[in-house]
Amino acid sequence: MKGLLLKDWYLSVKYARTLLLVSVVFLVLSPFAGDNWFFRLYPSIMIGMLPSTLYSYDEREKWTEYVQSMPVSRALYVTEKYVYGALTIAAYLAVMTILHLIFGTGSLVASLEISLSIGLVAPALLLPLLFKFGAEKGRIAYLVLMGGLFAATLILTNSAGEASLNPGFRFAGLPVWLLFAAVAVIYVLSWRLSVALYQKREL
Amino acid sequence: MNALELRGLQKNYGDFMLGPLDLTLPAGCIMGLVGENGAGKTTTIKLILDMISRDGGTVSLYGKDAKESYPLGKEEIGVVLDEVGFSACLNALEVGKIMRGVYRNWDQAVYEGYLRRFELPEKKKFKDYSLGMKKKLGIAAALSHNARLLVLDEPTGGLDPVVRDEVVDIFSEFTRDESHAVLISSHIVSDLEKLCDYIAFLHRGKLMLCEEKDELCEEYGVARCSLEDFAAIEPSAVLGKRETPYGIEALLRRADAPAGMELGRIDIEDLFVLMVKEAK
Repeated sequence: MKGLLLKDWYLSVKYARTLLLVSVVFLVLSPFAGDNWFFRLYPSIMIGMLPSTLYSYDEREKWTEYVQSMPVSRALYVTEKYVYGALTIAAYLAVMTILHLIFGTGSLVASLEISLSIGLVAPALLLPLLFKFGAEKGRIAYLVLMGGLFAATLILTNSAGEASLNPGFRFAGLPVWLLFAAVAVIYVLSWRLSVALYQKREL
Repeated sequence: MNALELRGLQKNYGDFMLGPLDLTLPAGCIMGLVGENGAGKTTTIKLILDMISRDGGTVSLYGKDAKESYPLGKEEIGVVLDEVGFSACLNALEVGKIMRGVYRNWDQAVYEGYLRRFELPEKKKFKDYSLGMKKKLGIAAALSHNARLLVLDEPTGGLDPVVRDEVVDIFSEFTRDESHAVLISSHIVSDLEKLCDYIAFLHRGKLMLCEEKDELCEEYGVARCSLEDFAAIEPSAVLGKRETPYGIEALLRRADAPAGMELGRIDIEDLFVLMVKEAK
């Protein structure tokens, strides 16, 4: 696990340097952005995409095959991607909290809720598709899935009016612990599903 | 003790069927896997490493069922795949640090020794390495975690003759320890001829033969004769043939050759080419 995490860290720094840099800039600006959620959402989305981006590189560079010649089970390989995703989101939330405590305006809890949800639920939906179909087909399947979810959300929010466009609104009535628990359950279920799917896949 | 045993190993892709394969690689020995493109060499290696699911048969490593011993059992196997799968952005130093986190028995000093021996720049990115340097880095990694068995898929492809010779010597050195063994697939039959104790021929997913190299040379010979002389040979004794401007070259078992016919020594490459041509 340690070697795999280190490899993904190297790849993140080298391949996703711009993405990380833009995320950090947005994160630093976010406490001053008031109600503008873009500065909080964008880094969450980008950092949440890291595990799937890294998987795509692994597949393209044949690491997915090579790693199977090592004492690394498929379950461990999949698990590492989820652990790496959780660690990067945790680091992001920690920095966000510190910045908010120093400079922040608005609700820290709402920011954490949104960032955690987007940062973990998006990869939780995408990763099983990648592990089942591979990077290329998996992304297409993800776009189809997200298109469907987006359409369903539009239909539902049409009945909720203007207020529903504010992301903070959607979580307003939900206890924080319940939201965090729900995200954790989705992430863990996604991990279990990915392990099962990847075990059966012919590379 | 056998380092590797394949029994009835099979893989069915619908349009291609590998096996059933039976192979035994004794510890202390080197086996060369020879076959044309698509013969099933890489599939065999992937099945041994459990990288793809098998449709039948067993793989044993040092007497233990491979599936049961994996993934920890892979500590004992050094692997070089046809395409070395390091990330393009990594350098040799970073590869070493990653491998130290993957293998319990990683020996950094040995790894650094191979980097020096192969003259691999430590800080140059993998993507900027030549094909030969990439192979050498894969070989360095495979040899740096105290593996007992090396499984090598075309490890000398892309290397110049001087480095190939050096690498072949390293593989030979590796088997001086009697518990070590090497399974190597290659198109460069001259390397295998120099290196191997056993030769296995794969053709269209089937094992045509698997014998000790020295016995192959003693068992088979090539008759260089005229068309008239060739016609006198019992057809069932001819295992392969090709026409040349000077007549016919026919592959025969020495035991089946007509009395008085002189058979020349055959090298492994010719033996393989003649057998495959006949099989087609």
